[in-house]
Amino acid sequence: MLVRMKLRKLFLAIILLLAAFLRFYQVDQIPHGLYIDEVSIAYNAHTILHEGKDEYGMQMPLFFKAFGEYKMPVAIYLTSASMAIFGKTDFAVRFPSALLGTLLVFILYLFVKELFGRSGKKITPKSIEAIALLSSFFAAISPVTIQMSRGGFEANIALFFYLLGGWLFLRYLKNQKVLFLFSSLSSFIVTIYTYNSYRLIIPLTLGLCFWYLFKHMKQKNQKPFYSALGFVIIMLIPLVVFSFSGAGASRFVETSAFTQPYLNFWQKLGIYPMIYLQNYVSYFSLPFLFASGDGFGRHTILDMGNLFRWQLPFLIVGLFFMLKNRSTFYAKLLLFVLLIAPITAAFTRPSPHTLRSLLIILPLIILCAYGCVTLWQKQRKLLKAIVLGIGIFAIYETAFYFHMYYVHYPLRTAPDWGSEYHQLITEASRLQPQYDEIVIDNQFAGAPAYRNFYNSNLKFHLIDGGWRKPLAWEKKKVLYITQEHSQEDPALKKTLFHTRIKDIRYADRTKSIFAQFWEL
Amino acid sequence: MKNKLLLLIILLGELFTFSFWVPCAKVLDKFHFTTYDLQLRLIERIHYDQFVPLWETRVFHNKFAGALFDLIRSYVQFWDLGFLINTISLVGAVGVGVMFYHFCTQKKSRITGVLFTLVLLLPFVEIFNVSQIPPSIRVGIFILPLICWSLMGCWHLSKKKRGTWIIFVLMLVSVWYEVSIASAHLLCPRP
Repeated sequence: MLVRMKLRKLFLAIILLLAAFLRFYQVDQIPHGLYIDEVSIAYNAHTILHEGKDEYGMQMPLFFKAFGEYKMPVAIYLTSASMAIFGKTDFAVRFPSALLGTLLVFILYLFVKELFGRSGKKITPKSIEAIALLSSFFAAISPVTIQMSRGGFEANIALFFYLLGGWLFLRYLKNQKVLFLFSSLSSFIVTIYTYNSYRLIIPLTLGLCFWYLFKHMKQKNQKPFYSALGFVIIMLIPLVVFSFSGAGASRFVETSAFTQPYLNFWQKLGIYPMIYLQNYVSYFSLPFLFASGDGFGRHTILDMGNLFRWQLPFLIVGLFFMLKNRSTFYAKLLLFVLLIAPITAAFTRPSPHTLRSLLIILPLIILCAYGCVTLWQKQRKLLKAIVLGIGIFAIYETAFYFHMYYVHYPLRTAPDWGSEYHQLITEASRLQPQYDEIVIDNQFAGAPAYRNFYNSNLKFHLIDGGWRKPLAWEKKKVLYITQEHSQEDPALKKTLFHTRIKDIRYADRTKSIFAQFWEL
Repeated sequence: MKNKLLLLIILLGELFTFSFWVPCAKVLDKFHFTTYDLQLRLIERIHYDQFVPLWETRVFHNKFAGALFDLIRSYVQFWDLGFLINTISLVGAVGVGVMFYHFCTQKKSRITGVLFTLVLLLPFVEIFNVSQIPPSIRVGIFILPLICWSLMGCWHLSKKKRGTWIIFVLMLVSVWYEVSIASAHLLCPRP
């Protein structure tokens, strides 16, 4: 018994080490360069750390203005803490997501143990342990969890807090300790303040929690219920007020799938629910989950889905047994999470979108593990042979994924990330002392954000495409940074004097020109 | 009698949904497997293998593994909920799921066994793109057994508590969907 327990702990420790390695190894280099949202978070985190203000000078704000919308605060404050330790580096920006992505693997283990532990005698403790270990293993190596943990994605941080909230709530149901209840609710509240997609998911989750508590509430013990309800209401007031303001709704307006201005009211009433349905089912699409992902370079590896192909048979078996045991607590809860996960994302376009529906990955991973353990435990040699066969394919596909990630991905998705912007700002900063003015074509719309983070002392003018050197600057030495122009470009010939100094090329295989530096 | 009438209405609904596929000129390439595409893709992938040992390139970019991945990708397209909704309607897609569940839990008859095999294997007719047959007929070869399968599923569902109501609601949504945003033409462009 003791040996078995030690063995379990050893397995768990190996899984956690593997998860940490897969998330931290070269995290500041692959994906190469921070993308624009990461840079925006990083700059706000930096100003919060040093001045206690955001980039617009607001003192410790709850919502951060950025690119015409508002960012949630949790990722920014976490990045501030990370920067206090690691300095103003790319590693510091990605550290919170990588760390919480690793811890997610551990919390998933605890959550699954707690969840299946409530199933009575239907599942043996040995099976529960196996499902929990396998779930954490799947979470450690799944393409989507690795991908999300290696970028500074708010969605990944939110996923951790959501799971933590779920686990603490299950602990409360088991122990009835009020501390667990309040910790759980706090964690759910942190989730909603982390990523926009949870603005609908968390109220539904909290609704379920309170409904469950109310249903099982004893006459003598009503105090925790009402104080918890009051706590949640108070904590959510700022978000509710913000959500109904124009600023709070800006992100929804920007990404909404319901923007057909040519439709009249009745047509909208007829078509919009069906657009929603179409988007909603797209999140359960097998190609999206297992073959090609959502197609965004930042979220997906080429030739891979969000999960491995070899997980599909286990998922089908897991789903089947979940439906067969649909009256159990774990089946109801998994089904609930599975169904609500895309509920916000379906309002937006494009759909499917991995980030906005990241929560869906949790029930899917648990079901895969459940299916795998159930299949293995059937005392049939054929089934065991099938599991072993899938196992061999699994080793190959997992190795294939890492090949694609470490060899192909950096060469393929450079434009999706921002290492070229980093180079642009570094080069411009290096050349700044030699020039009186620096002008940058406004096609480099991200330049101000990158400047803010990498060198806020760099001064430049962001100019329109048809810009000409003004006569007032006739005697000034100007550095003009633009997208690809040839020497024969008639537009550029009209400038007074030009010499091409330098090119910045994409880091991908095409090595095509990202920016050209001209001296005017 | 009530259930039979319900099945008849579902059948009409499914055929109506499938009728959007009849004027189809070709099914999108993502449903097909061709060795030519595979070859092109492999060549493209191999060019990214810079500073990588040759054995690694051979292990990860070979025709066997590429064909397996391509076949899986094409095959799962046929079980995509969006595809099923656009071919046999929402109620039909739910019927398919119910019947799979029923098939795995109940005693199997020979007919359901044969139908199960057909439903699982017939997508390969389209995947391997037997081009002498017009696309609508080719899709029909896969869809008709699927319609039978889904009708059996709906039959089982209708016998459950509140099953008839669930089917009724699904049918309404199916019709609503087809009338408002049917998108079969996106999967199967017109001539």
